[in-house]
Amino acid sequence: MFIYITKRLLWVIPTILTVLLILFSLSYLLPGDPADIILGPRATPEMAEELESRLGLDKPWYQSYLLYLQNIIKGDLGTSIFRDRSVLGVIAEVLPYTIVLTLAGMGLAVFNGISIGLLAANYNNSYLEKFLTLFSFITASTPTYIAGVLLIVIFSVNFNLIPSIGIGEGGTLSSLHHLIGPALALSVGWTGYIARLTRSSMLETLDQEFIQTEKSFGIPRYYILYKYALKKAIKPIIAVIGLGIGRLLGGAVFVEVIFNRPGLGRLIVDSVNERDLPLVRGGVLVAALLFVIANLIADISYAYFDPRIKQK
Amino acid sequence: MPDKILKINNLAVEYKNKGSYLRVLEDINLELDSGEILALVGESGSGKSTLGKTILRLLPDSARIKKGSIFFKGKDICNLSEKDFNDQIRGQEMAMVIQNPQNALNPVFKIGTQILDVLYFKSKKQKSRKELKKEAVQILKKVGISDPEYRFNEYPHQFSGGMKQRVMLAMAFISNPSLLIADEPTTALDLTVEAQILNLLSNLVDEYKTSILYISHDLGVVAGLSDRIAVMYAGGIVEVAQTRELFDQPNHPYTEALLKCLPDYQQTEELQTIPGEVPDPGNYPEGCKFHPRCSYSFDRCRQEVPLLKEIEPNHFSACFLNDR
Repeated sequence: MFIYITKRLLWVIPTILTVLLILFSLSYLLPGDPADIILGPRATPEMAEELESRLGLDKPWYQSYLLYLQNIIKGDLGTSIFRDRSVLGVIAEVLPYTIVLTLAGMGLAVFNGISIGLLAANYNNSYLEKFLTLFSFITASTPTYIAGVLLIVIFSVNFNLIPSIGIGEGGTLSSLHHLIGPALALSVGWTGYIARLTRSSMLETLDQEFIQTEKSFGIPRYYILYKYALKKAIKPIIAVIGLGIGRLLGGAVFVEVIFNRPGLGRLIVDSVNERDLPLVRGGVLVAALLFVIANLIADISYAYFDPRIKQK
Repeated sequence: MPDKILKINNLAVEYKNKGSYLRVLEDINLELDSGEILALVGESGSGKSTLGKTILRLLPDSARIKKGSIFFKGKDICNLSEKDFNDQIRGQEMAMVIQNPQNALNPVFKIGTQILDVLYFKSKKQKSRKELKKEAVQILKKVGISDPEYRFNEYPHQFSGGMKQRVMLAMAFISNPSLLIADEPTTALDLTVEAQILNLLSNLVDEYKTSILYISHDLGVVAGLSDRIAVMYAGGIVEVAQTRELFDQPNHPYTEALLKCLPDYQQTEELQTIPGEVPDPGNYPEGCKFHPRCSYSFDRCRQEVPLLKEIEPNHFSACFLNDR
């Protein structure tokens, strides 16, 4: 178990290095000269030169890359060009909103998805199952931005139940109230996906021989369903949750824009539009880190559900 | 005459298949005395496992009992509600051991957890799992698991096939069932382990006085174990007799052919096979289902279905040759 976790942890290093290399090459891959874009058409060559040396663009690429790595190890992600503040500070300010939103969205998706999937598997071949399957199919194929707009139209405009913009003014209750809509919008697609996965994984497990054995020994149905089958069936769902966190971070961009919330996704979009290179790099790096951490947690929790991994 | 522990009358089972029903078991009549080991033999697809599962209600939702009844200790168990059946029969009066030990235990739970749950529900939730642990360790010891307290906390993948089958037997006998349905419990094991498990099984039977319905395709295994043998072919029983008698004087041509397929360690000539294969349900031939493969078949076999008849005391056979 210890070796397994150590191995997984070590894998993080090459992953992050690759991400860093791609981020670094952004400045060479993006069209146009960064200094020109930032300074505008009326900049003098001296001003451009000065900016280039500040951004480390005048050195050969490998030196520049090493410098970039060095700074990151020191925890320095550079300074935002337009905000005149450290990138780390800007990100730290909005990151909690995104994390809370993503976790809330994933939490809703996991809870609702597994519940729907279990119901469908339990009442296989009934009308309820057909309805739930259709429901999951529809939700799984609803893009986040459509779900978000629909939620606003229905629950904010028509019924006036949830606020449509912002993060609320102080107080946990207000923040939670403002979180409902965005989290729901974010969870919709994954709810359907997890529901379908749970259903098929459960049906597959219930078809296996050990379920028959357990039945033949007189273990009641509810117990087989929620203890024996569920633990076996949950593995693919855990894997998907790990991946899903990354997707939800992507979906959070839409939700943050639609519901006008601050957040990492929105920050990255804004900084790309402004061509604020250090901020883009910093934002994407933090997003990548979140993704890696989510996958790491998923991998480790795998071991809990599969004793064969635990042993290795 | 000892009591009948199991009595099956005119049982027919169907599977739903694309809107229509396929009959996989037909006119099954079978009795099992208390303490008896009855072997159910036949080729793959003859319906022997289906029969075992029907008795324990383990068939998938797509299957249904079309007609007939199953009496267990004089009580019709077909009419029990699902809940009563689970509370009174499964794990109390009957248990089942299945073919492939690799799949028979849940891979994500410790052996101990699985055994304790069986005991816990057997005790109708009256005893705590802590109290039951002693019993569980005891039975593991009895089936020949060394160091059971340690192995209690291991997962199935840490056990060999033979060990898993021992654990299965332990779980089956924990409930001290009156009837054990053993669905080819040694087929997936190698020969030496098979012998050990069979040995263990007969010891347990002696100790617990359990009746066994032993499902197998291997007449060799069954010969040394069973009191009586019922031969199945294409969803029906074609011959039932005492083990000795069946081997010495097989009546049905199918039984005769099966026995000829048995290898003999001194054998020098080529092993015989039965030409053709078991027909699928839905493609059963008219008349006697065995007639296309039977070397004795005549006109009547193609038109009428032979019924199981007592040709000698306690020897039943379903063949028109006996009417000639």
